[in-house]
Amino acid sequence: MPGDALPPGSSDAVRGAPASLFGLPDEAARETRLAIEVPKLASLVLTHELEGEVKGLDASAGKLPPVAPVFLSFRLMVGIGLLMLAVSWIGWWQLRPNSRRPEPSSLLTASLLEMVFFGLGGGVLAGWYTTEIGRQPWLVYGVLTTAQAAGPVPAPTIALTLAIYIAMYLALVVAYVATVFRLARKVTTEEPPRSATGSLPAPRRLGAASA
Amino acid sequence: MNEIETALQAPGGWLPLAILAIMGLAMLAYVILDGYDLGVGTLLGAAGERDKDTMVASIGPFWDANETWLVLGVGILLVAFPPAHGLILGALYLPVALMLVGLTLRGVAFDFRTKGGADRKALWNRAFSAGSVLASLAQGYMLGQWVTGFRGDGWATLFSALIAVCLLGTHMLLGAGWLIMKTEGALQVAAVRWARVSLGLTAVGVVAISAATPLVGASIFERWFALPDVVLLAPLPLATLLLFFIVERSLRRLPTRLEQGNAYGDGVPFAGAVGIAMLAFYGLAYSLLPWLVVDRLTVWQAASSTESLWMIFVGACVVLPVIVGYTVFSHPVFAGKATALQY
Repeated sequence: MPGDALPPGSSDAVRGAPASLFGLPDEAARETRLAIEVPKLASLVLTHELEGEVKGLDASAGKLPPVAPVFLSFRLMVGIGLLMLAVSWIGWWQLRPNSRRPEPSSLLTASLLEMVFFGLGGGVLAGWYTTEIGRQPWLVYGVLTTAQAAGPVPAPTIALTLAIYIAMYLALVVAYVATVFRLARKVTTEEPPRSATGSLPAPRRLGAASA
Repeated sequence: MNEIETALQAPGGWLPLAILAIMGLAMLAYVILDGYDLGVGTLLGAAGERDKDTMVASIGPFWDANETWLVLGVGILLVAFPPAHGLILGALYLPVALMLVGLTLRGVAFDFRTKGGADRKALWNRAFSAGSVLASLAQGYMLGQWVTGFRGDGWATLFSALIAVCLLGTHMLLGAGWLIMKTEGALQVAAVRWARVSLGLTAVGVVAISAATPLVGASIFERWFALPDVVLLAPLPLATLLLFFIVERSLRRLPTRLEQGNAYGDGVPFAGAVGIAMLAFYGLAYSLLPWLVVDRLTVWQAASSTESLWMIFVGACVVLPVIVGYTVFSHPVFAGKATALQY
């Protein structure tokens, strides 16, 4: 089934099927180019047996979503997720109590920003594309197809509103980020000193409480 | 109304009507409650810089709770009358999208006008009033389209455009009436002026809808002008006319009274506007029942299965008193004149 955790890149049923970590699916030629594969992994994940049979795309011919977007967005989602995991481990290593480094490195700061803006956004979006495109042609799986549920509104009208929403949200995101930075700067420049000596107390480092 | 009387015998008949009544209540509450804060937002464009903070503060504690009524109303339409939801929102796709853009701009501007920096405040104030105007116009256009049964011809479009402007006027009347109650000084006097202009627009809208609905279908015409009914229904337009007269007189007298420091009757324009909105709603409901989409879809044709309706009905019996309760509770809590904006 194409919506499964590790969509197999082949069209016929295979025993002991490999999982492709990456590749470029070619729907016309029915093959995955430049594939990097782990032998037998797809069979193990989907059937819990090394030699289990994994059905190919032909088994559900006519009820298939476009393969390439699902294949790629799924790998993008998993890749970003693993990257975020790696960043959290690097961060834990750099911030461990007896680390010689006094402040978090700029690499860590940059990685954190990327996790928030690129990682969360991109990863969630890619995951969403995987489920939504992967469910096609169904809207409610096995009950209602997208074509049956589509309303009478002409496509150009939908394109127009989509463009309006995207334009508005882009503007709002810019305003939002600008406001967040403005408020953050306001706190650092305007906050009155808290200690009697007139200087701000030193910021506490994560994990440094007992050091 | 024979079909309605026979329908009341079984749950399959009366449940859709009961849920329609709940949905109607939600829509009426929305028009009045969000009406006044959309109106205040619209009038923000006409106000002086110094008054804008007071105006926003006057609706601050209420505006987002007011919008929940729209969610309730459209939510009930979706779960209780799915075919009507599809037909109505499909036909109104573009105005609904524009309304959402307007409401989004407003909601964001509400916070960002104070948090976005002094140099950006004028921009967010403009977004606030533009969003309010857009949402009101879109809602009025939708009302016009719905009343004419989504015919989509030139006359219906022209009529809907007229109703769009008039509903904007009604929201402004509610908003101005609200400001007369909630503010003092020069702003209060300005609000009286705004209310007089918007009272005219409201009157045009009420007359236009009253004139147009009987012309939409012969059945609606008969319902109003058949012989015993026309006499029994006469109090409805007469009471509306009386309310217009009372509000007009109050707005004429208020400036001199306020100048003398006498605030007696500063709640009359708002109460009158609420009354006009209620009577107009009642008249519309009388005209169009049992149609959800005029001449195409009745309440019973559009209703979900009786089992689903029971669930919605029981749920509404729990949720509705809570929403009504906090709405009623919040207004006395924040009664009195609006104080300086703090958040």
